[in-house]
Amino acid sequence: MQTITRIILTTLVALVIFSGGAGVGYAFRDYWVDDQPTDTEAADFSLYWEVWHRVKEQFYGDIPEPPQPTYGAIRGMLETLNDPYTVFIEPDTAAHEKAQLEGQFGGIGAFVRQDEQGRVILEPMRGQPAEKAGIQTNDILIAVDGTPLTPEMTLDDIVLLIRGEVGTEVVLTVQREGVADPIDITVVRAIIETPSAFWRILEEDPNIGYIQLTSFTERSNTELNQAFDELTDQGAQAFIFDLRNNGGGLLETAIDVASQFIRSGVILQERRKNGDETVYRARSGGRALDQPLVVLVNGGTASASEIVAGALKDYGRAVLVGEKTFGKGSVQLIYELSDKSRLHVTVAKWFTPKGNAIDGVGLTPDIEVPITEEDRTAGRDPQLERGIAILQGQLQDK
Amino acid sequence: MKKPVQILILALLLAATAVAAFFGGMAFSASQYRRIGPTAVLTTAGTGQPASPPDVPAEFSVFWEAWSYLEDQFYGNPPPASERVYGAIRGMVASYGDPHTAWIDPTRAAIMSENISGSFEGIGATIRKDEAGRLIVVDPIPGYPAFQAGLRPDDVILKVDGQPVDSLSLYEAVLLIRGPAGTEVVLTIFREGEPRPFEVTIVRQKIQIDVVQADLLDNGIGYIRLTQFSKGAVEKTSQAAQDLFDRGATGLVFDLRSNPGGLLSEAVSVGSLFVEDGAVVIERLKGGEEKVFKAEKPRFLGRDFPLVVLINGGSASASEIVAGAVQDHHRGVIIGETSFGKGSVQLPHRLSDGSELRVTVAEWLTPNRRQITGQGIQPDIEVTLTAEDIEQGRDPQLDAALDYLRTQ
Repeated sequence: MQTITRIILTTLVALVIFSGGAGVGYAFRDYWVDDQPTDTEAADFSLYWEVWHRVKEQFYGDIPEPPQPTYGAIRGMLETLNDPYTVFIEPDTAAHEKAQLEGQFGGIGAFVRQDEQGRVILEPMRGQPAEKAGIQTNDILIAVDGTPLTPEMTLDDIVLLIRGEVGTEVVLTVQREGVADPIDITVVRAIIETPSAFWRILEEDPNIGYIQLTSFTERSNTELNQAFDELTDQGAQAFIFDLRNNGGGLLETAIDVASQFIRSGVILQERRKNGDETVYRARSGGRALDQPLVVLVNGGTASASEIVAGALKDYGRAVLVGEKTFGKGSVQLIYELSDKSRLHVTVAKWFTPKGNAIDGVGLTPDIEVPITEEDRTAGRDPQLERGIAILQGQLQDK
Repeated sequence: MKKPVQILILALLLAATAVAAFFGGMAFSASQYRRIGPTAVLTTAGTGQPASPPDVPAEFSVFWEAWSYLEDQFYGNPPPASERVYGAIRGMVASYGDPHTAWIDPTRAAIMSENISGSFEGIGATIRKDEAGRLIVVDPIPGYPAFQAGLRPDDVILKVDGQPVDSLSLYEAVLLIRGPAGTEVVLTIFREGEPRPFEVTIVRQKIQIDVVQADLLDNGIGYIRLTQFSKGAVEKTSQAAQDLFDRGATGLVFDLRSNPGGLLSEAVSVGSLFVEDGAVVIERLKGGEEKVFKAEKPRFLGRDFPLVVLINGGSASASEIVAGAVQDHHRGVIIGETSFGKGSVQLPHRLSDGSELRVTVAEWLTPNRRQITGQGIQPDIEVTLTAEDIEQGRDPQLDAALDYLRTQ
């Protein structure tokens, strides 16, 4: 359970430096709830207290500090629900999560990567604070606010050091090729809004427009409008929509994105406890309602991405090419408890228009095309190639 | 009051033997019960009684908040409230960070008491929990099902018959693995270097090992293997040693490899075969009170023969007491691999609903006051045994023992 929490948090941390506050990797419909719990019938807890007393009195060794036994009890209780997304988060970690989700954390607008020798390489984004302050591509980061980077630090650790409250300063010490001494550069942290969509006319076939969506943010739909307009102007008659490794984002955006391709009808059913159901329908204004369409998916295609791909598959609107998707189709609400710890509760699950569950199942592509390690090293993309071939066939038939 | 307590002790001792032989390492000290008192039979509040004692810690309110949110909002099929309470108990007990302090739910506790009266049927492997709470295979015993099915030391058991085991206590996981002879158990294993977990099907069998195996080896060296510290182990060991000396043995190899332990009283007695005087083991209780278990002089076999004790990662509990005593009294040389590291004492409680709670109430120290728990006994001469050695029928640890004794 704890590992999973950490993975989710790590994902958030890692992505937030690039995207500045969007809840990427986790689709929150409504991530902040403040209501109080209602009274419920108390379970028979006498056995719990019997054990609690006995262990505390007799245990040889250090007794865990309160509230750890209570936290242990909460975790143990959650384990019995068998849901990896219903988790308990202790106050320290919860404070961090809260700050990130509420977008108070700013970044510097740079990609951070580690090379084979473990050096941390910076690549500033155009027009963002890091570039404005003078960080250059391939600068090697050696210290943050005077704290030297050590080989033990992970990229996540380093990202955490760099990030901080919006408007505050962070001093990066970098080593630059051709410059003898390290350089200190002061960068003012800001909310970094990065594009979520990237598009081009394919070199392999000028009739096909390729659009990659990396997450579902508030601006994704506007970006897509622009993409479709530009690509159509340039002669695109068919599209490849790449959702590989897109871990999700905002639910509302997912509905908008699906509506780019689907004229009308149900996009998504959200089912809650006690049979409550919310149905999301296609909205008007789609830019690519009739053109042949291939959607690329893989094991990193999750959550909001699966909503879009699932609807397109159910309506036969697109051919899904690639690998089986992740299978994250549940909605969590986050409750803050009285001691500032937090509880993520799965409160709903998503079903495709035809009523197929997404959660725990994932979507099987119409055409399965794996990518091997060999393909990767050779720079080949057999999934994209297959998508092109399918669209070329469809365009010829027209 | 007296009679139930005695019955209880008897049952517990039996339990100790059966369970210990399965997964390595527990020995109960009967004196514990007398000292701590007949606390094992309790009653919980009946229906209509307040569910919480007056000294409920204030921070527990957070638990009820979490509970209520789940009742209101959780989408899915939560198990009945009683199961969730069991989960809470497990989690609370797990916060003590001691794999041997555990709570066993009524169903599994019932299976366990059935197993105690019956024979001991399992897969023939020692299992432990690591710091991360993962279930790790320590020592599949050659010739038994786990070994034959290809289980290896350090394999991580993820599931038993499809059920994830990470939230279960060591005891509960072991109970899932055990079952009637001839039935199958499917373990899902993660192994370092394998790309993904895989399943291993193992047919359970009766793990019947002669407690003592003895042999006079070439060049006059006696070999005794003790497989568990069950009742009577000391008499059998002592008798075997006398026979070997009568047949001309001039040195002794005492093999405690893969011996998961058993009764404390037997450990003290077996230790007394080799330790003439002084402490065999020291038991330290909560609060610092100590009890020294001294060598039982009449059992001493003498000091006129050189001695090697063989240990490995499956040597636990009572085995570690004996090896530690021999090492601290310089009575012999310890050869093999670092032992399991289980030197704590559990007091079991049968609770009102039939569940069972085991609490670590004391720990054992070697005569030189070295801790056993966690670190184990380090061999004087370290010799490893590889899977290849076993396949080829080689035993470099025994060879090293014989080499050493030849020089004496």
